Amino acid sequence: MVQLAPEKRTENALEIQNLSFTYPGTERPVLDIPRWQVTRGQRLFLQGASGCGKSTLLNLLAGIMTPDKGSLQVLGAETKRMSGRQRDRFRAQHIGVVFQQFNLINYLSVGDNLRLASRFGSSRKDSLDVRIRTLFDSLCLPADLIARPANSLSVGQQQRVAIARALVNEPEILLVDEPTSALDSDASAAFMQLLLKLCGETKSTLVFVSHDRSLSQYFNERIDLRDLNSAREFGHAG
Amino acid sequence: MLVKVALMSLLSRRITLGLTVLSIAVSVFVLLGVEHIRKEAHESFGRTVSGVDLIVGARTSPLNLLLYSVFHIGNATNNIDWQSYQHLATQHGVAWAVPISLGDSHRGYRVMGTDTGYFEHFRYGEKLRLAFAEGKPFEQVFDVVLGSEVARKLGYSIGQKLVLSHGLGKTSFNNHDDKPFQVSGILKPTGTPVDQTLHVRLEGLEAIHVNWQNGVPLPGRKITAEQALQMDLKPKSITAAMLGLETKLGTFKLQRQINSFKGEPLLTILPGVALAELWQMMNTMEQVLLLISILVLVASLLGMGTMLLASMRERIREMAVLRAIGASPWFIFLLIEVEALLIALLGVCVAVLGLGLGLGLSQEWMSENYGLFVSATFLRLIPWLCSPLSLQVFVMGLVPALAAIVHHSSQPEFKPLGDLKNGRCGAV
Repeated sequence: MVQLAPEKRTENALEIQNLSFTYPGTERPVLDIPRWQVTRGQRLFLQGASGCGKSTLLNLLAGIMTPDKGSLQVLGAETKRMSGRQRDRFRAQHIGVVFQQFNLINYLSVGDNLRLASRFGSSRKDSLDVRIRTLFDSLCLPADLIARPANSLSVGQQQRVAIARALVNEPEILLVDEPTSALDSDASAAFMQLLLKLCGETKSTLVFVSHDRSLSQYFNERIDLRDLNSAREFGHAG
Repeated sequence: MLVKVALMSLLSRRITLGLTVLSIAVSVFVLLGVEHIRKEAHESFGRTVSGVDLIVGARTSPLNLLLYSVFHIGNATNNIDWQSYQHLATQHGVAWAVPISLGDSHRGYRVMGTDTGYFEHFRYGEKLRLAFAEGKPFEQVFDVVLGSEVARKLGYSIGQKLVLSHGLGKTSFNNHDDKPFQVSGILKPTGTPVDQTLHVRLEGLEAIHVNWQNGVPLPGRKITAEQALQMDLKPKSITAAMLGLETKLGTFKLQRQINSFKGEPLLTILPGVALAELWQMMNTMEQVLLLISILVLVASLLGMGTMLLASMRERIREMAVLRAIGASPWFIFLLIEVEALLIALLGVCVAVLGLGLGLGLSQEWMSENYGLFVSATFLRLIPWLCSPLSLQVFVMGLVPALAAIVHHSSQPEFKPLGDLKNGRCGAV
């Protein structure tokens, strides 16, 4: 049985050593990262144009895929050594994910989207409604949205609900992938401020991935994936 | 939660869901209907006559004799002479004999001439005797005993007078209106053709036909009911006869004896044997019907599989979101299977309601036109249907469910933006 609970003593939220990933049926690896680490509580802007392995890296970090070679430790746990089921559970409990768009299951209500996430994360149920309310307050979302069907919300609202959904299990790590690409500049700025404010409050580690350099102004720490990844750029798209 | 998600997912696709449910409902309706009516027909026919060892009629096919004498379906080809009947009744080994005379009707219901022995000896179902709800057997020549449904539908009560018609049509131009009959008794419901029959004495039938010849009244010769009663009303011929034997051992011997009766060509049947022949004939048909309805069900389930599979393409993002919040592939597999089961369950519910309603509405029509008594209690068929059905639904759900997982493992969650915009998945 692999240790599921993250080891408290590790300083690093994410730690990579000699990681390499090749898609089945292709020859060249998309990712080849000799060494990289993200400390707990860090808020990092990871810049990457499309085609440089950005999506692949996120899938690996979220434990949806596992590296072919090398080591990837998330909160001190080696993802490769977990079973599929354990990785799913681990992700539900410790990693929050925000996609660029379509974050919610559109036939469920906003509240049910959050409750479903909470169920997979088996987080405390007693305070769930309170937690949702608090998150909605912090995200400037009116509480009456909770009962509304997810597909009746504007894209801006959906993206903010996505943050709430990602944080509902109080995860240590938040992976965010181009969350503002569907928003106009005003909504985008508001979104960034709320996201960073909430991450500050919850002390989550934030990995923010975007091709948009202008967003890097919100971060103190930036890194370009091309500097990290020594694999050639013409691998698998994404 | 899983069921709730599946239900909400289905409800978000109401039109496709509705059509799929309807197609499954129709096929389940057909399957249940065919099987139910088949079973009910067997039971209904099987309980119509019991305790009658032999039925004798003019020479025809055994099936025809059985159908017209007991089920009142079709017509007799010829009659038996009264003398022959009396000869039969006195044969060695015959415990009792009941004559039957058919050919007249009253507002669409058949009239059967017989004698009081009928109420004593005729048995139906589990050897049940005919019982009177009201009144008593006929005594006078112009008395009539009504089957329960005749009385109920036409609203007759004891003492009321009614007029018989010649022939079997619902409307007849030849009414015996000069000689009305009086209701002397009403039978309890039996669930057999007895309910739809009016019973009179053979002498009564004879009396209303005294001034008739070759099926038409003789012009200019009026005989009143009172005059008729003074005449010799001994019947000249009957349609068939039911015989009860002292011991079953003599059945075949007596059957041979009667079949080779010198006086006129006669046919004797054992009701059970003739009924078995009927089922044998029907068997192939029934099997074919059952096979067809099973195939229809398979086709509609394939349709459901196709519907679910087609929906997988537009649900890629949904699956991605589920995976991202920690759903295992197993959860997604189960989600699709539960959706398939819910669709099938809805279909079965609609079919059951429809069949219940349909049977309820057509019960009378079937019993009046085909002598078929079909109860609306087909729920005992549900377990018979459900175990193979749920297995099939599971198998049909396998394709889309596996497709969701397999497709998914090759299409990870984080995707380049361009790919996303092609799919119609989330809010617009």
